[in-house]
Amino acid sequence: MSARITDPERWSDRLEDGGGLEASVGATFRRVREATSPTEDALEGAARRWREPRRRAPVLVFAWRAAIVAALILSTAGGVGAAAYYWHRRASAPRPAPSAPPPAAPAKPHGRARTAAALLPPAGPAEAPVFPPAPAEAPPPPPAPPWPHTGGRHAPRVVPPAEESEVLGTAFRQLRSNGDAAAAIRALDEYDRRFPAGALRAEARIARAEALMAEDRRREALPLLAGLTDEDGELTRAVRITRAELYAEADRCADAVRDFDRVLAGSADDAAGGRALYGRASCRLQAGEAVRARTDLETYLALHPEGAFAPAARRALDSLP
Amino acid sequence: MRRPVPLARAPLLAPDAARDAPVDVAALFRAHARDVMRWAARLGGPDVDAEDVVQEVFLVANRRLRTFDGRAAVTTWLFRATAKVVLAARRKQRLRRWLSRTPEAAAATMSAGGPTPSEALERGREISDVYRILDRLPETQRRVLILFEIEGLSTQEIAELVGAKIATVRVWLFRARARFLEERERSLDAVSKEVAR
Repeated sequence: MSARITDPERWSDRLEDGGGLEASVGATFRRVREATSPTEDALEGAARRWREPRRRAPVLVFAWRAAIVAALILSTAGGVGAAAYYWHRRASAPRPAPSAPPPAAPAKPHGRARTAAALLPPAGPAEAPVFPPAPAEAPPPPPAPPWPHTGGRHAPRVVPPAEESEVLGTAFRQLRSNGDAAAAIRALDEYDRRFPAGALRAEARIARAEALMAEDRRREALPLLAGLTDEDGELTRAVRITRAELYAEADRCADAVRDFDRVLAGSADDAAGGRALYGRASCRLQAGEAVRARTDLETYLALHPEGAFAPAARRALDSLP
Repeated sequence: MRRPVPLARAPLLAPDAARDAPVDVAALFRAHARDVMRWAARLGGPDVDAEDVVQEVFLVANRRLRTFDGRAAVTTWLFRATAKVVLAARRKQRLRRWLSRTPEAAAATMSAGGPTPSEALERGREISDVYRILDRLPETQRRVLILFEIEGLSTQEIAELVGAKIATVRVWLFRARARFLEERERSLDAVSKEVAR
């Protein structure tokens, strides 16, 4: 086979004694190969399971699917309604104070966004949205952008042109209402191309982070959020907890703990606080700080006994020395 | 040198017969369960239950193999089904991995061929570390690197399995190796810093 002749040499075929980084990695690959070769017992176990395949009652399957569809419809309606309310309020209300946060929209991501969001703990009903709310239709130019890109939350706001709001609105609509992250990213690409120094570029960056997470490209989302500072004004509690969790996933626990600490400095008894306690415990476990992890887990369970991570936290506590 | 796993090249059924003839999934299971389980263990790593994947793949085969058009080898069909199931399983596992079960604990449950407990623990950690680095690679690169280095397939065989050109597979492999070394280096640096603290 000619293709085999021209293949590069496998690292796993090299002798470890020959030295070199690649030979050493190759030796590790060989050990992984040995450890992952199926044993007869494992094959027998698989055959047993195969002979007794799991079955779900059709009614339950139907109910489960119906629940998912209903949740999607409700979350879409909720997202659109909240966005419409938001834009209506912004258009009719007097100019808000510079530091006023945008109203909360209890929208949940759609489609693959749910997968990405699920990696983060599920948000509680009282939790503020991570990302700015989406306009339901092409919005009128907002009276003032919520994002002072010229530096500092007290800096004068720059009113973006209608076209800029419209392009960004398209991105949000694709993401929130249509659940189409790829289309949202395309709209954001267009936004970046046309408004490289736009007044809403921070919102665009956060929207891109959300779209990337919806596409399960969480690693790419982190750098977008990592650049946000307190001065940016958009580093809300909800954005910060999301960023902390992304740091933790990327094994950047020092950065993650810094953000978790900041979130917990505010409050520990809301949804974001629960996520922060849980995430910080995870980082502390990874760092071998079992005592401090235990404290966080116990606090989490005391404040969120029915929280999404309560079962996992209890199991983790049981396994701690 | 380890003999690469041969791929079955003959289709399970002739294309014309595929739609009507009953599919003997039990025979398929007997012939290919070992391959599927090995792919599941290697693609999934320590966080994925290979037996679960095997069961799911053959359940899918039971439902969908009738629509198999016979243009590709059945092995290819099974591999792609396995890869999809593994990907879904890995996504699910990420939910649970943080606290409920550490990678090290999961790795310790992998079949390790009867070493002593301390050896098993050490090996489990090593495997866990390898997969932690592999998980930082893009999915295509991760898959190609595993198939080449751990599964022992040639780039031509990988190209057939994943449905890509050989040249493309080689590019992925080249990038995967470079990225793996880079991520490994980063990982070692992080450990050194932790120890220094």
